[in-house]
Amino acid sequence: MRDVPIFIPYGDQRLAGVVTLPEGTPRGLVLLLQGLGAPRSHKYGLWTRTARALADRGFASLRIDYQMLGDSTGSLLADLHRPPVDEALAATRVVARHLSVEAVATIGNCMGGRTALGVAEALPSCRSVTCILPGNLDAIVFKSGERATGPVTSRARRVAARIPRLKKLVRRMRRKRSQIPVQRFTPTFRAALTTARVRLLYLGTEEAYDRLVDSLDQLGAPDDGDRGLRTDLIPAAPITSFRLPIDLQPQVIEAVVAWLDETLPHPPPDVRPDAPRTGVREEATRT
Amino acid sequence: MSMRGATLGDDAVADALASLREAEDRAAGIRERFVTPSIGGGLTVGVLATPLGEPRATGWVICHSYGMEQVNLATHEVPAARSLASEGFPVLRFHGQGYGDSELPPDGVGLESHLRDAIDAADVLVEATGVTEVGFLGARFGGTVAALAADRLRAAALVAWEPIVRGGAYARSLLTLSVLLQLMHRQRDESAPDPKQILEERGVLDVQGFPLSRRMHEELVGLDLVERLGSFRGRSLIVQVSKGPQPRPDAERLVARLGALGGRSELRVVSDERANAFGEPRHRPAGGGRKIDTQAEIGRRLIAETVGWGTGRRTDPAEAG
Repeated sequence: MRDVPIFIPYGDQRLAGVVTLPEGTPRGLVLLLQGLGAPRSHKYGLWTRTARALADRGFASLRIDYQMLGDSTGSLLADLHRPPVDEALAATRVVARHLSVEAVATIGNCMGGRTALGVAEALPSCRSVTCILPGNLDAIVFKSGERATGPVTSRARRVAARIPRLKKLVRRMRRKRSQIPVQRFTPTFRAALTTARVRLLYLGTEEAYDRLVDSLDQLGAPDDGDRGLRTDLIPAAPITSFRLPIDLQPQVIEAVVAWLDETLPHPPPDVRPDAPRTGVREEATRT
Repeated sequence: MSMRGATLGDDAVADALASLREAEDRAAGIRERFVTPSIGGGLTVGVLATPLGEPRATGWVICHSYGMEQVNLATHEVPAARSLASEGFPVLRFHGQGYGDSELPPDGVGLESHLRDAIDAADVLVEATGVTEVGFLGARFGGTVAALAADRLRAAALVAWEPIVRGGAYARSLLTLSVLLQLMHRQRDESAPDPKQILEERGVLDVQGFPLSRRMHEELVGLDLVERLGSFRGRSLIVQVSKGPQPRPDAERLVARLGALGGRSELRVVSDERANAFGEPRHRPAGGGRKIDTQAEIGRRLIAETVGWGTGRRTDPAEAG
């Protein structure tokens, strides 16, 4: 494993990044995208540790500082609706060209999730997207929010709780009412479901996760091995600003690394890890 | 300790990527180069900012703060490094062990590890640039580390932005932050946890996702920066960041101590309405999915004060606030 820090030209500015290389030929390149405000290593060095775990499984990875943050220059465009997809693409292309990798994957959390989906939309070689949803759905819906539970609803729940069949019925009704309308899922997210394997790793309560799953059912996402959706829950109390408790950090790393191990190709048995690479793979852009 | 790259991996690819390790900014008159030195017993990543023209004799090491402040204050420290390099000072910023891109985990982070890493970084700076004098710069806990490193090495210069003078108060603020996080992860009927008890029982406390070890806590509780300083005779600038313009007793005490030791020390105050947020995330939600920079003015004034002081140019009061 080896870390190579680099500056990537980006217009008049430069983006700082670290490429973590595994031993031998990489199985693919994984782009690690944090939310706004965090540097390339993410808070608590979460991406640094993820990069090393990925390298142990044969993946190269790239973590970058968005403009103005970390060691990058420029000004931060702090707008959830305009994620730094161009920056991420520029950096990915430079590194993918050097590595000659065939497969790209993205992992993002919060705003980074939107960026990860945007990269998937633009890069045909992006086969896998992981969105870490830290108690909010900002990465995949236009605006997240919970439906308030009023006093009448609370009373009905208490009554229903005493009658099992009624309890089930009320629960089903409540779940249906609190579904996120299809049109609120971002087009980028919906597009990614048709071109890549998308995994949503939700960190939060079981109740909120159930609502998410019910809402996602409306999308009818395919699940044919090469594309489609998988959702998972890491139970946690509501998390703000991605202040991920220490005990959850290894779980997140393990989950995303295992997912990539599953979704990205393994090296063919006849390719020696130290086989020389030839050629440069130029990446076409999806339009 | 030595400057060395990591030694594992595919050398051909790494060598090709290594051509991107350096960037030149002609407008600013600086060059920035990534370095991967061994500091504090492990590899880490740093950036050496140097002037394109003739360098000055003094180089600066930037000492980052503790925990989440390492992330939050970097947006002030990095432009400061570039501004100092523009004025001819070579500057090294780096991730201490347990932080960012460093090799070792955060479990070993403490006052002594910060201090050890700062001292190692000074060696790296001297070896890489040939500077004959070293200064240390840091903000909040990083300012405390900078002062202690300057004292330990009898360095030439020190700049501390809002340094932590009494570690006990800082330790209490960390425990409070921890309680807030713990409360979020509990059911309504559970009582508030006692962070000291958790620290005692488990040896580590979760502070905003970063581990506060019992050792670090003890180091902080016993820390009085003024009393710890005994050797530093260089020039120093202490910048207080506060809402009002009145110097605080702790800052005055620190400056008096630095003067009593034989150095020339100045205290300046950057007053700003948002001063209490110094050390917290710089960008805050502003509605509609946007975030705004709430500390741009504080950062600009800190850099103006620092560069003005470092170059001997008088800072325009209007510019520095």
